[in-house]
Amino acid sequence: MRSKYSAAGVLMVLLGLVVIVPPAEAQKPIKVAMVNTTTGGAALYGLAGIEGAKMAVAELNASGGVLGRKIELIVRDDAAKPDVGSREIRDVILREEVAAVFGPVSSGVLLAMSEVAKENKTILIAQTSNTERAFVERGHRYIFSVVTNTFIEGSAMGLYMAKKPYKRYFVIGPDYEFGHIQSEAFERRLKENKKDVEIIGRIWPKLGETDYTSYITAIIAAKPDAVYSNLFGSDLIAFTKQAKGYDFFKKFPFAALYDVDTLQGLGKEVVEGVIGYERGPFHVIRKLAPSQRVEDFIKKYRAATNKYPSCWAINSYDAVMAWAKAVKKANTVDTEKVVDALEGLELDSLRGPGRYIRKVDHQANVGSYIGVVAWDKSFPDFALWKDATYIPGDKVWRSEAEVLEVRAKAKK
Amino acid sequence: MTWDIGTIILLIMSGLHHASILFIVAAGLTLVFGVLRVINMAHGSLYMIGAFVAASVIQQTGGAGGFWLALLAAPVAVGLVGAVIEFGVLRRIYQAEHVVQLLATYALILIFDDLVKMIWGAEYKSVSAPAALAGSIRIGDQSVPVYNLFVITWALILAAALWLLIYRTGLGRLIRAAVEDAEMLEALGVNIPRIFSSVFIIGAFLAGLGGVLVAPRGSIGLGMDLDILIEAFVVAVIGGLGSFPGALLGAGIIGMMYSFGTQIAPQMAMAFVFLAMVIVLIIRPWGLFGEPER
Amino acid sequence: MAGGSSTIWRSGWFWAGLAVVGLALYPQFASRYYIVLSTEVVILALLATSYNLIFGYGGMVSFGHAAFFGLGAYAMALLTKNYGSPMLVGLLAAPVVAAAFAFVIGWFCMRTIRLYFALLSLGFAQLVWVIVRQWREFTGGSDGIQGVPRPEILASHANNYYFALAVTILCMLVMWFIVNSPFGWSLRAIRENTQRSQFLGINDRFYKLIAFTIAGAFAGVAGGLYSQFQKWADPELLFWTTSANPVLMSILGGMFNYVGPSIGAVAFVALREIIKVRTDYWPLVLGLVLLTLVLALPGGIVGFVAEKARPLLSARKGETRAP
Repeated sequence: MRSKYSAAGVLMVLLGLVVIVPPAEAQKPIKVAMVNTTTGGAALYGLAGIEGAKMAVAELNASGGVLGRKIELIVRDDAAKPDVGSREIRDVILREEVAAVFGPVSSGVLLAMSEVAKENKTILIAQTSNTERAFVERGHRYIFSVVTNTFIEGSAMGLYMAKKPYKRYFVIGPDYEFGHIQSEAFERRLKENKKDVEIIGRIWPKLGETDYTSYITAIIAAKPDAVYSNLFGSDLIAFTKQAKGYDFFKKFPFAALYDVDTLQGLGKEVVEGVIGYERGPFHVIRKLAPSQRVEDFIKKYRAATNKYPSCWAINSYDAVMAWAKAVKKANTVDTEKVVDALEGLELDSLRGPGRYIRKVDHQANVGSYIGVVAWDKSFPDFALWKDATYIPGDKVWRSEAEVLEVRAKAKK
Repeated sequence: MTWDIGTIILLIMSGLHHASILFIVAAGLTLVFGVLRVINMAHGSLYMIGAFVAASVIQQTGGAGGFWLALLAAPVAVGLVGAVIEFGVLRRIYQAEHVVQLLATYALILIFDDLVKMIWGAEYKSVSAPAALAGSIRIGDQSVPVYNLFVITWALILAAALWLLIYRTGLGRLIRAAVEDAEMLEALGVNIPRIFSSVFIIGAFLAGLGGVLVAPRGSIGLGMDLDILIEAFVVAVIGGLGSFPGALLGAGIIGMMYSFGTQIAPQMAMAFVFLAMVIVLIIRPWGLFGEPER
Repeated sequence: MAGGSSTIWRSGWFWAGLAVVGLALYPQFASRYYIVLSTEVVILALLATSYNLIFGYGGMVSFGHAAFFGLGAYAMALLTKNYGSPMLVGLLAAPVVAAAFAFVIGWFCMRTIRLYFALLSLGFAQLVWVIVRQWREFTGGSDGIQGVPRPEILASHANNYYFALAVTILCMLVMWFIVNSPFGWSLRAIRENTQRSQFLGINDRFYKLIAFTIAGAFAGVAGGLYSQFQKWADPELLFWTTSANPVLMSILGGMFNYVGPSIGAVAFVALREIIKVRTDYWPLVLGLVLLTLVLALPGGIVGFVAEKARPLLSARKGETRAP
């Protein structure tokens, strides 16, 4: 028996050695990678992001690629886990030698991946995960964001809710980086603009929680005036379904990340009247910044997936296009030169004109879209928003001085 | 927050609801251990498969009938999967040490996880409960979802059914005898393999049923197998591996712990659950209702 | 077989030395990617060997070994990142922290046997996991600790590899001497027949507790190396599915052989790499491999508990080996 084991072990080792044969020489296409989430609750957003990236790559390749070379998109799953995410990004950087990486969904994974990108001097562009800390406290030369960060998003909501009469708030969000950091920003801006506001409680179900009953009960017991949440995706879908039965939404005004994917997922089970916010709803973009490009994008996306594109797909498309534009501007794939080109780059964003990436924290001045969930006659399958508004990023983001101050404090 | 009657009722209802799901799943786990002396780590996977099958049935049939059909079809399907597992894998390792069984069933978790991903895709699934169960009931000034009451009712029905099965039928008598001394039973000429299969299939059926019941609440995704496995494990251990009343009591305790724990100390509610498991294992390893293993 | 065992000894050390030379020269001709991969393998080999101290040599089946690995990882991460300690301090603290926990947990676990031992070790590990995951203020919660600093000299992939290799080899030597010391032989005696060793005056609970603590300490070293290498510490490291890996590696490579777990670690990672290139369904393959291995064992003959003695390990000079 023992010899059977050792033989098996030796065989494995030999097989392992076979793998050490050096990989093929560099091919002609430019490789880029998307490390996103394709399994688990966050897969809803990850898959949308992957689709958006694929569409961008296809479009670029259709017009001859970039600098005369085709682009090859490698897709990896991070399972919304930092350890898997860092392994995958290390793999695509060291083994596949990609020119840039896009992704992920989870802000926790973003922080882990950012370290690897920094260590190996590779460009990482965030298109869904958005913790401000990855760009301010932990920012570095190689990380960029085309998506609304937690500070902008939270602050925009703080500003919006400050106009409402509610005084006693309860906060519920997923127990990880994004949940905590974004609600901090919300609370701060809310208190700045409405002095008599009080946060009477905060609870943090784990990311991917399936049973919200105890949390719903806790909120009901606390009797707040309103509830603020940054639950999203499958978590928000589960929460909404479960809370309905307690007449939760009749009791409390509620605000959460009701994006297009979440609304499509909820379908007929959605609750009208709740406040939604997100980072690029197609139905609002259509009204505020209509363009043929957006319509084409929507049409192509529907043809490919049979769904309407969410902001994750849109942001993902924007991220790839931003990188491509920077490469064209720098006229090389060399990382350092592309980074220089990305700083200050004006984006050809699907979300509209006037978007650019600023130098101090590599953050795009993209803002937050807010609306009230309501059915629209022209969309029978899922609800949209009414009374939609857009708060631009540069209206609420940290000033340059503030960014440097926060960074200095973090270094101590 | 205020501790009024309405709140307490809500907390108790929420605890009962959680306990119901836990009981249905843990009962299968503990029964299988009691009779077959096997800890089936893949029990959570069976639960997950039940949820996915239910989702498919509901999505394919559309309309209200889908859910009721799934309620029957999914557990049966999972029972069949259970039969395959029992025949193909478990039969070979009944005599082996517990470690071997744990490893083999752990291997099954890995396999089923990927099989589910292959068959159903990685995307999250969302299905709805039938309209009849969708509303809420007022208790005092609070509202409670009808669906939660539905789940609790099912748990009670199952508890009664299992009790009848174990204490009032011939098969039940054989099961109890097998828990006592399977070898002796075999020496007496009873067809042990058939009993083992039946029990395992019942256990799988229960797991699948648990999966169907949670499906409409918006919780179908990969990873639900590990989540429920740990909780069911704790319940079974605290109640006593192999003990049916233990599963009932254990589920009740854990369900209430979660419900009240989230209210009082939300950050560490889950820690109390594991603390309970550790304390029971130290003081009385075979659980509240269990028997010391021979 | 006169003089047979001295030949075995010589050739054992010879091969070990050859392996060390090979491992040392490795970065000269391997790509960045494989250097990084090998660093991971080296650390996992240390973890698996530490586990085998209690599994193969001690006959104890613990399902909570990941807790000590994770605690070591967090000790390193917290000290170097949040408290600005030098890396070596972190590396010394990691086994101390892990050993402390191992001692306490082990003390409780020694009072139970077999299945309940496994369950209790699992329960304790999960308890530690929950606390680490929920205590956001101290451990960073579910996000873990990011940006663990690495000293300048270890910045290059190759240097980091050498460091991990050096520490691992040192630990392996220490464990080798422990295993072949009177303590180690007593441990094996306990594994083979607890009652008889008790009659011989061996305090079996004490010996097993010491072994458990030592194993935990070395798992802590592996953890410290790991968080420094990955530059993060994450609660997943303490989750029970992580505990399964050293078990797998020990079985894969052979648990009754000192280098077995290390070979198992190499095999495990090699298998993972080969499979992942071809398909996303790596867990499926791993599960099938594991299942096949487990089912191929004639039921009960390959024992994991003391009663199933292994003549090879109890063989002294001059004794013949049983097949």
